[in-house]
Amino acid sequence: MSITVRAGAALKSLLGGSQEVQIDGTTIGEVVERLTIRERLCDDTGKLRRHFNIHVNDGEDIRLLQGLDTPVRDGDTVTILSAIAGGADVARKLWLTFSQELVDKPLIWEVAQKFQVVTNIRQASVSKDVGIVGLELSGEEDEVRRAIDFFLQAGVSVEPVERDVME
Amino acid sequence: MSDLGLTEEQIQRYSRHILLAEVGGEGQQELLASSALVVGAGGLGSPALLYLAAAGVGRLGVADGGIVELSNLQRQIIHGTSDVGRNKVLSAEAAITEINPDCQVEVFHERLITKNISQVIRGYDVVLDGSDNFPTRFLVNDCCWFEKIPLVSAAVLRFEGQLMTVLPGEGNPCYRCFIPEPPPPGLVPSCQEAGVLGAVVGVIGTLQAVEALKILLGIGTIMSHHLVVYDAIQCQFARLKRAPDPACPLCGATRTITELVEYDFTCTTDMERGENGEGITSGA
Repeated sequence: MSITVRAGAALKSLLGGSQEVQIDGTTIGEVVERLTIRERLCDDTGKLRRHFNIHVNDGEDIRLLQGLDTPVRDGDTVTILSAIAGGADVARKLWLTFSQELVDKPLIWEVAQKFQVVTNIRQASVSKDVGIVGLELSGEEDEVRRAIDFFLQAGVSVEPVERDVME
Repeated sequence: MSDLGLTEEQIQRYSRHILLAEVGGEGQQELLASSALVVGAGGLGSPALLYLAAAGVGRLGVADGGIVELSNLQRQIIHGTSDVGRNKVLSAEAAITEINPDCQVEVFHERLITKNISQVIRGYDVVLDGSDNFPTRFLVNDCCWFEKIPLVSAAVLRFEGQLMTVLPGEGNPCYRCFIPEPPPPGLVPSCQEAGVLGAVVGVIGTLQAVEALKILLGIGTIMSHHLVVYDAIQCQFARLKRAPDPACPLCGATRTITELVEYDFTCTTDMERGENGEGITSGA
């Protein structure tokens, strides 16, 4: 029982980086189990997470069939998809360090006024001597870059946040 | 004016349409009397607008709150190098007018939100969604559903494109039947890491224009019960069946959405989330 499993572009990592793998199984549930990605596709109750869609051959989403119990046969192609949205917005998390002479300047406000970015302070420690701010900047890539350049030119030290610091 | 109700110049301009039995002089007149709104003058909107303009759609709306960036030009072919820094809608309007003076252009230099979307969308015969984020996609879907306007929705990521048409009314699946709510923020991966091949966006944006023209002309099979998935690497088109989801919050039996709702814009990076994020992201 060899089933071809295909994943959409947004899901390649589910299949270990490849876009197509061969797997055995008689139901979608078995196939998903053998992909060892069940916990990513399904929630705690074992239901398929709602932003994924699975189709057998050119058929309907399995949700409208028998869900994970939907049978598959030798030679079937199973497609796992998620919706994609497009766009090139980015979000950067940054540590900004304001020195004593900059600490009372409203630079984050200025950035929000001057550039089409959303500023979101995630963490901050500000005294009269120094200000350290964990800031998330989101918007179009070029706009975010210009906002960062503005901070740098103003003399603020800007460092990317290492993972998990603010979460 | 000829018997076709077209000027001599129009007969020449649209002769290759008029030659088609499915279009003819009558179909061309219908196109000239029709209207389409394109949401997003970006990667998808560019080819869609260019072809709708060339086809002689009489009234074209363009909604986009952005300005032309250098990094857009790799795929957003309605804009040129000298347009960098300009409002996208004005840049698009200039290109459309240059291609076809028959087109009346309406520009909306704003992001569509619950407050303004109904006024923008109302009165158009078809809407093409080429927006760059989930909140706008859900809003456009819901508004088109309430206003009973056909919607051609498409998106592209890396080498993959998706397209579907939503025809309003009972028995037809909507965008929320495909994905009922925006995906959880934690599952939205890096938008930086996710690139897109410009020409792939061109394929899908052009498909959107074809689908819209078919709707305006009333011809062919509309992708109202299918999702088209284009895999550019394999050069493969799949047409997957779609059906109304009885549990759909917008069009299902126990619908919970009865007015426009707004979602927050969210985008996290892989930097803080780990490397192998699946999910849903950007590109067009």
